[in-house]
Order: sequence, then C-alpha cells, then structure tokens
Amino acid sequence: MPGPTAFDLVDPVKGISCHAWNKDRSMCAVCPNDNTMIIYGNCTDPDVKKWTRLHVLGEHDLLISAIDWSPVTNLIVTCSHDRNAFVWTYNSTEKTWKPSLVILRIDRAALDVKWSPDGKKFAVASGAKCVPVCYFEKEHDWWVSKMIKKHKSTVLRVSWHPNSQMLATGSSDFKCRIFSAFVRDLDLHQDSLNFQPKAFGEECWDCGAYGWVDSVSWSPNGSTLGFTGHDSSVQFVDFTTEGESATPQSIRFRELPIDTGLFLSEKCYVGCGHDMNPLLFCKGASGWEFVRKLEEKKEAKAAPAAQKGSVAAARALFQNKTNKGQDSSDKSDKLATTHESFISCVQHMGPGLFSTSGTDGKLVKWSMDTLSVDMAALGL
Amino acid sequence: MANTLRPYLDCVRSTLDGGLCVRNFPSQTVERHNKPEVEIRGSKELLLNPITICRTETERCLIEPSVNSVRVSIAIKQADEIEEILCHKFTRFLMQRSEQFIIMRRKPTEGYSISFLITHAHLEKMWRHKLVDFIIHFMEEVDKEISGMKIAINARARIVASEFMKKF
Repeated sequence: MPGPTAFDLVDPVKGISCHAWNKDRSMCAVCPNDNTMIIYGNCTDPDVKKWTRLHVLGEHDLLISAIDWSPVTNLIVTCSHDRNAFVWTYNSTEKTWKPSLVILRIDRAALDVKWSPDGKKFAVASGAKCVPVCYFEKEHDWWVSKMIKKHKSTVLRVSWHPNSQMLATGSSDFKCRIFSAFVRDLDLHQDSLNFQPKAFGEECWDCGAYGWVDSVSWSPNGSTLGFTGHDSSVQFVDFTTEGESATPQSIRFRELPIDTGLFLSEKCYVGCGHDMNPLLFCKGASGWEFVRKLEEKKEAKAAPAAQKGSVAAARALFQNKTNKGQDSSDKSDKLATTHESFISCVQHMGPGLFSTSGTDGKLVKWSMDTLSVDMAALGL
Repeated sequence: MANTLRPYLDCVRSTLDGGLCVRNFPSQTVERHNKPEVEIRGSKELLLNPITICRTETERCLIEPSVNSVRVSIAIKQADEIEEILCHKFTRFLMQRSEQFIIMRRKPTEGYSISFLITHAHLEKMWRHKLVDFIIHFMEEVDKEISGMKIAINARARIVASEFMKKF
C-alpha cells in the first residue's frame, strides 16, 4: 500500500501525547494524553481493530509526557508532569507490569525521557532547568539520580550519543548543549569523542539558536548531531573530526517549525512537527539540504464551477475562504495530510521505517520505500 | 473598502498560522501548574515578540505568541460616537457569554475591543486551520454587524423624528 498507514488508536479529541515500541515492534505503549499508559499487542497487524489492549497502567497523577522502551533490557520508563518517573518491569509469570518509582529530585514537571543505548541509564528533561541522569544501584535496590545543571530555562528534549556517555539537550533558553554523562561505576572506559574528557555533568559543547530548541537527536553512529529551533530551522553538526570547535550547518525552511526529529541513517533526517507533514533532509556532496515534504499534495483538479454562471462563481468564492490549508480537490473538511494536528512524537521502527503520533489520536507508520523517495540518496 | 480588508485579513491569517505553533508546556516557576505563559509573563524567554497589524489607526490586531498560548486582541473600527456605543455593547454581550466561544477572553487587553486566548489545549481539541478561520470570520462579520446596526438605528431615528414632526 503506497504512502503512510494511519491507525486511529485514540479519540481525536483526546489525542496521543507519546508512544514507544518494544524491540521487535510487536507491542506499542501509548499515552492517550492523560495519566495512563496503554500497552497494545499484535501491533504488526495492519488492521487496528485486531490490536489487543493488553495493559492499562495508571500510576501517574498527571499527563505522561514521554515513554521510552529499552530494546536491551525490555524495561519501560515513563515520566510525567507530576515530577515523577516510573520504571516498569514485566513479570512474565504474573503477566503484569510492576512499577518502581524513581526519585528524580526535581520540583517541576518532567518533559522527556530517554534510555541510554546500553539500557543502563536514562535521562529526564525537566522544567526544573536540570537533567537528572538515573541508574540502578544494586546494593540499595534503587534508582538513583545525578543532576546535570547549567540550563537557564526548561529542558525540552534529551538525546543519548550511541556510546551512552554523552548527552545532548535542547532547552527553551535557545541553546543546544552536549554534556558528559560518564558514570565511573557503570561506564568503565571513558569515551569522550573528540572532546576533552570531562567529569559527569560538565558541559562539552554548546551552540545557540534563534528559537527554543525543540528537538535534538544523534545520528545512528553518533557522528552528527541534529537540532531544530522554533524559528523553522534545523542545524547539523559534524563531530567526526572536530570536538569543541565544530560549527553547525544551519538550514532554514519555509514550513512551520519541527518539534521532533530523528535520523534514519547517516545521510537522512526526518523532522516532524507543526507542519503535520514530515520534512526530509538529506546529506549530499555539498552538505545537508531540504529535500521535500514526505506527503505530496494531490494535484488540484481544475475548478469547473466558474463557467456555471454567477451563482456558482459566488459560491466558489465563499468556499475558497474556508478551505485554506485543506485539500482543494474535495469539498469536505479533510486536510491534505494524514495527520490533522501537530506531530508530538516520532519513533524509529527499523531501516527506513518510523512512526509518528500527534494530538489527533493517530499513530502513523511511514515506510520510506513507499513514498517515492530517491532511496539511493538516503544511504539506508 | 474590500481592497484594504483583504490584505489585512491575509496578513492576520498568516501571522496566526505561524503563531499558533504552541506546545504543552508546564510552568517552570510554579510546581504542578500549567498556565498560559502569555498571561503569566513569568519568564521572558518563553514569550515571542508581539505583532501589531494595522489597517487604519483605529482598526488593528495584536497577536502575542508564547510557548504554550497565543493572545489575539482586536480593535474594532469606531468612527463616531454611535459606533463606539454599539461596539461597547456588542462586545460586552459576547464577552459575558465567553464560555460559549471557548477561546474568548472575559476582558479585552488594554486598548482593544475584544481578545481571544488560544492555548495548547484548544489546539489539541480543535483543528488549527478551523480556529484561524473562525477568527478571520469573526473579524469580517463584526464590522458588518456594527455597520448594520448603525444603519438600523439611523433608520429608526428618522422614522421616529418624522412621526414626531407630524404633530406640528
């Protein structure tokens, strides 16, 4: 089937605040914009009615802002506006998910959470202008947190480098930063890329933007960092040869800002957000460039109404007033894009595959090879 | 008239389109609160530059975007005293029923006739393009409504006066 596949999971009035997949993408954890997390099974089925609702987990008090499911340890971590995070462990004999509360030591809402790629630590972005990095201490049977401070405003997004020792953060103080998250007891050998080796919580690199840094992400092998600003810009920084002195390549685009993005390969970046239509960026010989929106508008048919006399012309005039931003070829209220509201969460699903969810209650699976994209340029 | 109205409304529309890129943003000053930053004005880095779009000196529109909310204030054209009275009565009538309009504010911002406050929660429930359409439609209709009322008042005054003058 060409194009994206949409799954209407949640009522559009409620929407989805975030979602996450397990390792083989057969199960999906979804937060329907409230304090519960729903885990669906049988998610490979193209018919959403055949998805089974396995667990409804409500331990938080307020909206769950982010979910992450570690493919290494099969643990789920959720964080919420009630300042808490829970790590959920699956008990296969009782077939239940057991929550364990993490003392984050923050006094404002938590906004984003990510497992480190090795599954030993996770980092939480918070409105308390700091980032707790949490890891499990066996002797206390307890998740402990260490703080990364130095932000001047809310931290909106975090992203781990593949070596699990460097952490990139995006904040609403208009800056993207990279910190060392090296914990001596867990990470035996420090790998600090091309930066000076620094202790935990020390800032390695920072770069200003012209708006709130809504999203940060590392490329799969960790050589490139991509971050987006609320001024409709995306910036790519190459760290293969340089450390502290690396400068970003900035791309401005005319669409609405990107709220969340991810790298599909070293040469291909997808940004989703307020435009409701994922934007594709590729790295060519002369650096990164904007390629296209993933969903192309259908060709508008020539309007035949104009010849039918003045009444029809007048009617068309008023119709035009109300259908800005909509598909002009059909007269319904439907938008031309699959998503009808802004995209708040994007997750990787495999080579050339990713999924998005938004406040319209839809979960959409995208496969690059069905979108008539030049696959050779993607470098998958 | 329509020649200047069209670019005015187009400008408001495109500014709103860009301004309504808001997200769920819990307060960073008060614990467990989630409030429109454009009203709280707690941290200046969360507010964007306000934009005033003017058609004439009296007819203008102020759009104040922030990280999780946008405030749109409209000054309705008031050419003479009758229009001032009509506009005051009309907006008062609407604002007393502001719950029914969902995004309407109970009080206008200083110097404006009527204000709307759009938060991320409204955009989660409603389509962005339809919200923008509503505001544009409101701006179009309110002028028509007030000039219609003014004509009705004048016509009525003329009838009353001529009836009164018949006595002499």
